[in-house]
Amino acid sequence: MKKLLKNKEGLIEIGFRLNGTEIKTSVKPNETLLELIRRLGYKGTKKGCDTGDCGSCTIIIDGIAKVSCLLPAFYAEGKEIITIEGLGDVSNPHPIQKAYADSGAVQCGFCIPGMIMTTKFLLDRKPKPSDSDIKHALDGNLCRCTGYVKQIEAVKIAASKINKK
Amino acid sequence: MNNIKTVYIPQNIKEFSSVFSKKSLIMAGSTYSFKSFEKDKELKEIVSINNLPLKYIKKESNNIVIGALSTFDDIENSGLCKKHFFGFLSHASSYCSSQLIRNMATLGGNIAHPNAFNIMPVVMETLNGKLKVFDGKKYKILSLSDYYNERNKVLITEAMIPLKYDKNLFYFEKISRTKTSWESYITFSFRADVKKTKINDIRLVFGSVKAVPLYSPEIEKEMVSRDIKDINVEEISKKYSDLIYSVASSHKYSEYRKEVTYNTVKGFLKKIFGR
Repeated sequence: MKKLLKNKEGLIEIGFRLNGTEIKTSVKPNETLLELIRRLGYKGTKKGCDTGDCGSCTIIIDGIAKVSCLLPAFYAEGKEIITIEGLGDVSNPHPIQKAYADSGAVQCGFCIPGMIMTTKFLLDRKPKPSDSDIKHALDGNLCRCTGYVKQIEAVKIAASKINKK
Repeated sequence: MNNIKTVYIPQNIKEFSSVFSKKSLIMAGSTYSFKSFEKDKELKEIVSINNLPLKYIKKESNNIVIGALSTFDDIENSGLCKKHFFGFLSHASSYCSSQLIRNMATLGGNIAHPNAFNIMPVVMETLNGKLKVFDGKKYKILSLSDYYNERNKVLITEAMIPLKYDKNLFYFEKISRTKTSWESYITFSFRADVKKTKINDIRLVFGSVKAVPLYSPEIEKEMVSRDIKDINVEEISKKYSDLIYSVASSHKYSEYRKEVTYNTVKGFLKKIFGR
């Protein structure tokens, strides 16, 4: 059985893969996975509601999109985690990131990393989603700037670009 | 939670039984547990059960069997759940919160933490489902109400849904005044077995009313084995509506929920009676 024990400093030692890099670190028992990721410098994952309602903190854990604010940091033990930084950057954006920018889906941008991670999860599972598939998948990612129309368009553009590859 | 000394991650039930204690917090999908116990200073141990082999959906003898660690997303997208009960299980699961929560919340957790708005207890009660639980030494089978009497002493390992209701008529809906007025939500989960002009069996369950699902064997008895032309749909609907009203009388959406219940029950009965 795996056992995570507290060390002398009162921290729990864990190991996991973050965006392809092996991480060994110590976490507080009540630290959230979101706090840990941001502490490690991956600030693209946003802290919004902190109650699992807004989706700003969405990351992909072992291929599944989840909200990191509801998870304890020690949950990461042995897992493969991808954050928005793991998809691409300004010089080499992922097709989903490019589609969001090109379609004008981004206004203030705070919710976008979470939306993009959920979109990645959706397109990995369903490469040709219908409008209702997209709405159903993005129902946990809230945006206070837009009316969601452009985001749905962005997902469709991203899907067609990825399918052409 | 800052006083946690050990996090156990058992890989099988045998390992789990060696660390299972009433004092430890069992954590699965974590949508409920972590935030609820974040400030608990008494907590010394966590048992993270995510690695237990309880994530499956299968057909076994006369049941659809769902492992306790199956998420709402697993159930929603399961071929078996789409195929049986006219997709009732799959459809009901799709109503759980958002995609991100459906990816995390488990069947076991949804049943283990009684909350009026939870979907799985309502679904289980509608389908007369049973729970297979582990008490640290042996397995046993419990009804939902028996489980709630001893829920702190056992771990849910799977839910068993009898296939004898496979060809019943089903209805599942969560209705609210607006999507954001969560206090107005009410869950309707109905099943009926109608043969020619008679009701063989019927179960009307209401969620979001009290901590555990609400249904009335007395009102159901009034309909069973009777010719549908002798059943006064308006009268039955009113009885259900009154039941909801009395339970939630202090609720600010009481009138709304009462009216919605009346109309929904009436609509369902009229539909199954072909009126």
